Amino acid sequence: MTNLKSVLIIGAGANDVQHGDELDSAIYQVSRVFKNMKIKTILADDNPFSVSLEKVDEGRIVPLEVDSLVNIINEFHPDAILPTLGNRRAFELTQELLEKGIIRKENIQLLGVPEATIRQVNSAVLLERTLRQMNAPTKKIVTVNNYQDALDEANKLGYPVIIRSVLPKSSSTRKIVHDRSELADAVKQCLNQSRAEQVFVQQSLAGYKEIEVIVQRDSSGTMMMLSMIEDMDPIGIHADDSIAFNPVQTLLDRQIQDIRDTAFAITRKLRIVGTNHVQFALDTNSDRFYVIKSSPYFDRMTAFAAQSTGYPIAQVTAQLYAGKRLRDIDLGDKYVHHAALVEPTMDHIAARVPVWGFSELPKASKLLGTEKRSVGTVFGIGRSTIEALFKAIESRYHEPTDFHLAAQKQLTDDQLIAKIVHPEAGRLFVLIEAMQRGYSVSELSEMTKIAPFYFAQINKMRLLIREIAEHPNKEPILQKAKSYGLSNQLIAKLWKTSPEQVYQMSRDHQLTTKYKEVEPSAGEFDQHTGIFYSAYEEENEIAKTSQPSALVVGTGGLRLGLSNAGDYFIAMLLQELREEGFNNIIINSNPSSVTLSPELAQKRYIEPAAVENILQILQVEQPQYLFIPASYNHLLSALANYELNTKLIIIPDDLPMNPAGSDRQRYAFNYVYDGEYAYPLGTTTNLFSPLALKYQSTSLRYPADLPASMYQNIGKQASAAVSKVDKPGLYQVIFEQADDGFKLLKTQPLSLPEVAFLSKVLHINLPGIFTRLFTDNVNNDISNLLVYKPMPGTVTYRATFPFKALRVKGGIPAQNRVIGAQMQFLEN
Amino acid sequence: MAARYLIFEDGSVFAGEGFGSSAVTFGEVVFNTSMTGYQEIITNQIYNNQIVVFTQPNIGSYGIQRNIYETIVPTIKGVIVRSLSDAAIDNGRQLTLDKYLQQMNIPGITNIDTRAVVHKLRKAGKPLKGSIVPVPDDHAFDQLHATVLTNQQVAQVSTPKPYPNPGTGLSIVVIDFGLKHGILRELSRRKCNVTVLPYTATSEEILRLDPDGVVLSSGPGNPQNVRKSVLEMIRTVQTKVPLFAIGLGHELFGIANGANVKPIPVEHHGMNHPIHEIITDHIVYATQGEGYIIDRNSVDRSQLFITYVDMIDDSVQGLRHRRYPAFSVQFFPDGAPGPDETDGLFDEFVDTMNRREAHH
Repeated sequence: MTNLKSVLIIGAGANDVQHGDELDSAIYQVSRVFKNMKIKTILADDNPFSVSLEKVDEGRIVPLEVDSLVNIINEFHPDAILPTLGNRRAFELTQELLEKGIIRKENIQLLGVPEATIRQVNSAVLLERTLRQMNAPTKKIVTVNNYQDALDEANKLGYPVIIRSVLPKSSSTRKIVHDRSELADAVKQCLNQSRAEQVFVQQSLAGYKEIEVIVQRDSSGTMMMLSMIEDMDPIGIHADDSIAFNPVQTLLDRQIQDIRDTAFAITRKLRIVGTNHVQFALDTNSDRFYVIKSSPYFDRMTAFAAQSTGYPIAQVTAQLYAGKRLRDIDLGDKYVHHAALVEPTMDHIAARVPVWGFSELPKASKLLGTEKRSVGTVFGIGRSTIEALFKAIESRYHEPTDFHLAAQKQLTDDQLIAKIVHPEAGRLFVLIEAMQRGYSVSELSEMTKIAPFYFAQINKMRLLIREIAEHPNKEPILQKAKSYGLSNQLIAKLWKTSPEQVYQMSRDHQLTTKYKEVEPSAGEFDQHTGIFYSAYEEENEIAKTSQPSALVVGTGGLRLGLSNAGDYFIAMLLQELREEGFNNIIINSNPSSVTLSPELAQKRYIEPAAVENILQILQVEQPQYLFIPASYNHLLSALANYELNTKLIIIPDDLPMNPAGSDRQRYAFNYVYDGEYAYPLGTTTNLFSPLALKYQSTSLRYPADLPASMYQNIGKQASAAVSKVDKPGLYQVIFEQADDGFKLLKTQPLSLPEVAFLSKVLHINLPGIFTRLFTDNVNNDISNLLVYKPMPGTVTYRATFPFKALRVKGGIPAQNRVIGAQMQFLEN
Repeated sequence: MAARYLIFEDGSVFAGEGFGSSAVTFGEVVFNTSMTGYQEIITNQIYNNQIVVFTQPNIGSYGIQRNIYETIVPTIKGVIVRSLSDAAIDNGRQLTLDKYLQQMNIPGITNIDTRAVVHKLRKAGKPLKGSIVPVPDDHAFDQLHATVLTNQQVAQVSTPKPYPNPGTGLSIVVIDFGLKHGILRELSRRKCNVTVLPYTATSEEILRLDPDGVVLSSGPGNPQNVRKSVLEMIRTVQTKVPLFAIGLGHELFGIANGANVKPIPVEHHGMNHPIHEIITDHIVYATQGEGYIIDRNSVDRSQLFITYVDMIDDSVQGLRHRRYPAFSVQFFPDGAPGPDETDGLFDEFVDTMNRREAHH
């Protein structure tokens, strides 16, 4: 494989409910490794929030369709295609390319997976057949064509069973049958729906434990297990909506080894090179387990495994794709020799919790089931299950824990039971309340199918909360609370005092936070990843980062509205800081975020963005600059009470409030303003008529279609308006078409999604320019950075929304509901 | 829980909370980086006279299971964890880890900064003696300094009398140096008819049973302190029947064939090192628990060849005799806990015996 010179990576497109930043992050890291190996990376993607598109050798912004890929292949003649960094869609596209014959004709190699495996990933039936051939344990399915046979099979399998139509006529029908009385109707309905007049009678795995394994294989067949992760919620609740722990918390060694053996066997059979995410259902009563899914591509779980173990999965996988064997990989002087071959072992626990979009989409169903409801994820790391979990929950900055705790008190007993049996988002707090009201572990475990171990933890959390509340302002209790990961905010609420008081108390008692490194050998080797988490223990492993340094607070889990534009902005900001000579330090809790790449920040703190954490880290690091997103308004106002001894710069991640709805067309004149001059960046306008979008402009075109005379005229007004702003930054001036011309509506900071879009339109690094406006003391002349070629044609930006995925009927597109976006260059 | 302390001979003290027995104990402190199988580890006799620090913070989540003991009476001297989590166990018969350690008179400490202890052990670069005490006062340190740990661990843990583990297949003699049940489990799976003999068994006593093969078990401590007659036994037995040696048994097999052992600076206990199988060029993972290894330079290549090497520290992990059907591994192919990837070695052993049967 020494002749690998260029690779085409198929990107993932707009973020959606199924995927977020993790793929951009993986592409970014993989392409950097390729660059070091002198392999050219060509990336096809249309996600305006992608960092990689701007960093690879050839970023091509094209619709993710087979024709675009064919054009790129004809232009670059890549040696290989990498389909594993673009979600399922990339596999489908690769299969289409295979069917077109272009891959064979051009003699293009497939990296990561062989052709047969691509077909199997795209077809559940094919994969099922392979799994059966290799005697891997899968759920039992039989085909019948009448009620009597269905009844016999259901009796054999045991209820509940799932009845499905074979070759369904319209939408696929799937019925969960809990007992015999429900069977006849289900069989009848599904028979009617089947073009073959047959139904599947299928074993239900609902209620079993869900286990996720990340394994890795190289081209010589060496395999290793990188992580085994346990979901707290059973099968029946989407894995991404469950609280998950790395490593597994309740499994016996025998179960772990059997699952590992099967995951290895599948990965070997599918001849995967790179990582494979295999999901299992474990029936703890019979000790039987079943393979649910095999995903040989990067996903949220791979990102979580990498960040929580400290094993650099993307860097290693990139080299495996390029044909290296695990034994040939050198991870550099911060790791022991052959570290790539050491299976990660953890001396900490990582908890991953879902992030919901309910504040933006109040009508979305909160009921949890097999369909995903969450939009993002955050994680916390601790030295106990509870500490990790509390930190993870606190990392959902926009959903305060104390609020959730208080809300459950209002429930009646019937409501509480209903919420236990029909779980909703945020169920952990319901379970805490249930234990408070005296439900026993066995009752709760029976109702929820959650392992008793977790109720032991929940009970401990409950008792801890009670103990704290009963002993206000007591130092030993504070120490205990902090060692279990509670935030000052929550402690203050329980003590009916202020977080400032709690912070002062911890300072008075010298309760200083210490930090431990996330390192994949659990201390056996002297290795350093640069990932740290707080711990209230004896040893402190932190050392001040060498100066000059900058501390940046990340935007946290993916949230509706901002999508990954915040991660894009911060990644580009970090890059600019690095180029200016700063050593970067980031605080973030989103395992998928590209900003947690070691190339962008040499030190990464996995911590909630709580004021006490920022103050502690400021004390350790004493950075020149502190960057905080504007949306962290509680944090910012709390920090205003303290002497920070650093220069605070606000990252404008707030979404502009739209002026009241109107059916008039609006135009935005965009600028970089350095405090003296306003540099024009051109105009944007709504892509569709405001009426069609119910007055919400979430689709844009660049440039706006204004006559030149008009353009000059309003342009002058716009520049004048920007020059009145008191702070340098990225701004836009909004005009609305009026009967007699144009009316200036307002001047506002450019939203980060638009910053990302304009950066790609103009091929300039606007976040970098923003950064330079605040940091470069010697010479903040930015005019040389603003050189861009006016391009012909039009560029469009279309936001995408999670309405369909989250089953929101009649959802109205709005800026705060955006989950992703697509952009496209059109020739006029 | 009452305060308890882990103290070291160099004067350092680590504070935590006691669980299990309240006994004061002394032992060599080692750390284990396995993420699974705390019960199997605690009941492994290789930890005779040792205090084990678990790096995996969360220990105790499924209590004690009746079918995964590696010995009935463990002789580990202490269990150090970061975060003891005794799960809610409804079934009244099942023990929590805390109760079990009380019954077995083994002290434990939780809420200790285990990562700090690991760093200390790694930096020390030599075995450190420690003690679990209720008060870290001068008296406790005096006692620790005065205590001489026995070097006759095998004598403490080997069975005093022979016992059978009947099966319908090949007849095997297992020499017990501190046997873990995993070995018997693997032989049972292959239907072997096993007789376990004390480590003092002579070659005559072994061969009198006319075994198809002999297994030298794993066990605790320094192989150089095991009585020398064992080496004579090995040299005789390997010429007569197939021999398979594991752990301490492997070290003794090496010494019996002219190799030397040496202590490693930091004992290695875990299951995540890549191990290179030289003949196939495969890389495998297996549980390892070693304080001594065969000195590579001392291996007489006319007698033995090296079959497995640890890719991290280059240690010899397997040997095979050039003339006799005898082979050995430093790691634990029986897992319990740990990966199954090397359990094929038991099949290889069975195949070797079957082939000989066919010849005779």
